[in-house]
Amino acid sequence: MFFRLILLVVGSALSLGSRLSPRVRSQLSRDMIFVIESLDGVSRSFVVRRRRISSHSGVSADAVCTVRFRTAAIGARVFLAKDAIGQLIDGFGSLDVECQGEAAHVLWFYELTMGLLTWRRSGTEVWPQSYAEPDLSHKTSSRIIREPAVDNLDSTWLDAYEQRDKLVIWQVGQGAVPPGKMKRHKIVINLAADSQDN
Amino acid sequence: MSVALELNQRTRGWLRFIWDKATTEDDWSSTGDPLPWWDRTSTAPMCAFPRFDLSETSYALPLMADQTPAWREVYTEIADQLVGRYTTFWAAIDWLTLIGPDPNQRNYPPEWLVWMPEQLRGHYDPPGWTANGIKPWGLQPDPIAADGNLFFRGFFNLLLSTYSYVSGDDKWEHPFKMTGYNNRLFDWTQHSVTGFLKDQWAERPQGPHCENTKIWPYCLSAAGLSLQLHDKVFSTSTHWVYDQWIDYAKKHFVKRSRSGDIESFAFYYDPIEKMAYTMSDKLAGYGTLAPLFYLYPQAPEFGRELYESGIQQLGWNSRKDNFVQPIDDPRWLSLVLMLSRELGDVTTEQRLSSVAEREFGFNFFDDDPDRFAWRFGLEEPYPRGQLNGVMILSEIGEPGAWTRVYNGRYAPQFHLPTVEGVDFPSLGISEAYNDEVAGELHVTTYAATSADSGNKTSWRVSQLPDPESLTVYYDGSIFTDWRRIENKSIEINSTIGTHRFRIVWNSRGKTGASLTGQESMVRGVARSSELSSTSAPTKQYRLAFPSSCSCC
Repeated sequence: MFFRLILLVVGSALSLGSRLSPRVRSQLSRDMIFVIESLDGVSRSFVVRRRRISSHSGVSADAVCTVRFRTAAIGARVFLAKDAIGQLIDGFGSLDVECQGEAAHVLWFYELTMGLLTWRRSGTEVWPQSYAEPDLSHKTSSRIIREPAVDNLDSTWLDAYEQRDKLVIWQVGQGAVPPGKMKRHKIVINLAADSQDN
Repeated sequence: MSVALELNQRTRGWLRFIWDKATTEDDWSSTGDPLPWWDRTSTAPMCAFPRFDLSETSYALPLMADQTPAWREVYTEIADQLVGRYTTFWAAIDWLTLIGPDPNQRNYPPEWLVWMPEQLRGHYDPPGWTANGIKPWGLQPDPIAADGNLFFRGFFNLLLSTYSYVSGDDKWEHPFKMTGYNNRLFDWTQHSVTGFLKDQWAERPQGPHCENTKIWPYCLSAAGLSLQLHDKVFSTSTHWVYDQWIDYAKKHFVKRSRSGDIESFAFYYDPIEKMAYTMSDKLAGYGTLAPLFYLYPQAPEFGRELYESGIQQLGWNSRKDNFVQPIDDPRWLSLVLMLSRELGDVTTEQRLSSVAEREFGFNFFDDDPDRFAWRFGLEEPYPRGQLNGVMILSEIGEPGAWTRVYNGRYAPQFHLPTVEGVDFPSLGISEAYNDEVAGELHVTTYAATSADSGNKTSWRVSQLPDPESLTVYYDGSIFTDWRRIENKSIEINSTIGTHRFRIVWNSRGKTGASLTGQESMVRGVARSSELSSTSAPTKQYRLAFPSSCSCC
């Protein structure tokens, strides 16, 4: 019951955040469904559509990622823990938690949610001897050619435009799915069982 | 130098494949396209550029060269082709085309957003977006002489130092052209790259940045390793800037608990946003382990502390727990497997090796006995060069061999009898070393192309002190099918296959003064690129042969 309530609150908060917070909206780059459930019956689907989040109880067959806790009590404990990500990793190992999909989605979702709690965000850090603008007194500065700042690739350099289009970073930025993922990546591998199989 | 051992089957197969890649002509200019077997996909968004394949392909070369110190011509040729490509448009494509702030900041998928601080996601350039041209830096057309782009010149300097280490020649110490923005060309030499790297770092103890404006311990450690190898080969003194940075990193990049244990080692720090990026909780182990591949040979004590912290956080050293790998990228396991072997962490090595053997596939090339690469569970037409380039390191030499390349005693055999003119890739050499005390050269051949087995071949041994008085043994018996050619060389006739030769070149068991006595390496003297005429390498690559080079 408690876990169900947590997920309901999370869904409501994210839904509200996606309407009011540019910070949240800017992270909702891809339409997708993310599911959290427990084997003893709690489940909630978080649906991202056009940079808005809605949620509903129940699972979704076309979820890009499903996190499944062995029990709702474990889910609640992990979700509220200060070291939730660490507990999730432990949970994967102990099989208390299962992830269908990419674990990176779990990290993203959790940090998106925790980002709503402003006191949990990490702050800025000013480290000494930072080099945050060109220092023309440096010995190596004489070798660096510095031209005026520009926002775009030179529009007359057509070859470069054509080649840039072939880069993964550009293609994914334009909406493509990141290529080249392992088809059978296993988040958890039972080495003892594997060796017995042999 | 590590004790010479034979190249194993996998190593030979990998060598055969990277020879194919390096010596097959392709066009890396702004109007061309690298052949698709150059890996520009792995570990996106940070490393999904083909120059990372050039770098990572090179890592096996010094290890192989240490295994066969009396035969280096093939490693030299491969390294030369890698360096040549590194001077081109496609090597610097990120700096030359990812200009200004990223217009796609809001479009990156969740699995990429997690590589940025949470507060900045969606309005921040991702790792890999170099942002040449943004304020306050301005557009900087030379990919080497820049405020940022440390990773470009750092990894380039590592490749150049590797070339020097395996070849013993000075080709890239002479002026060459580097491609810049709008195809402008800039003059550099190996030593001027090293000098710029060192001088800039000396003025910026926090470390120069890669992308505008992210400072990565991973890339700085690769750059530091390049300086260390340069110092070793050329007896220079540049590496102190890394030692200085290590002190800085211990104070700022590392976060410790109250009890003094390492909690994290930042992936990167952005001095303009004033934010360090570290993964949450136990995932911080990835950041702690990431730079160790390069850091450990330079700062072993600190490196071991980072290793133990990172491996503990990820739980990869646990004997009883399941193995958990949250990030879907074989690079991590490959890196840590190599590290665990290097550090003598047998438990972790066995666990990771077990995972790799089961999950990474046995041979990308299936029934082809001549080539080897891991498939990594990917259904792609070519093996991933970046990932294989790291993974193969666990197959070469003894534990510690990687570290010894960079910080061990420099004892090349360039001045000793040397095997040359081998008809590779028909014939391969799995063992070639001089026993100076016994005055013997040991050579073992194998069929690098199985289809050529049994065919006649010949190869040379040069730099012999006295070809008239030597004795050649073949599989244990005296062998006579050889002849003297030139003053200090002989040619040995053989067949393509597995044969063991022993050439006794000094029966007194001393090196003696009759050896060529040449300097083991051309000593490095930094030269100004403005002083010399240039000999820019071509931007296209023909099928190369040991006696040719890409520039003349």
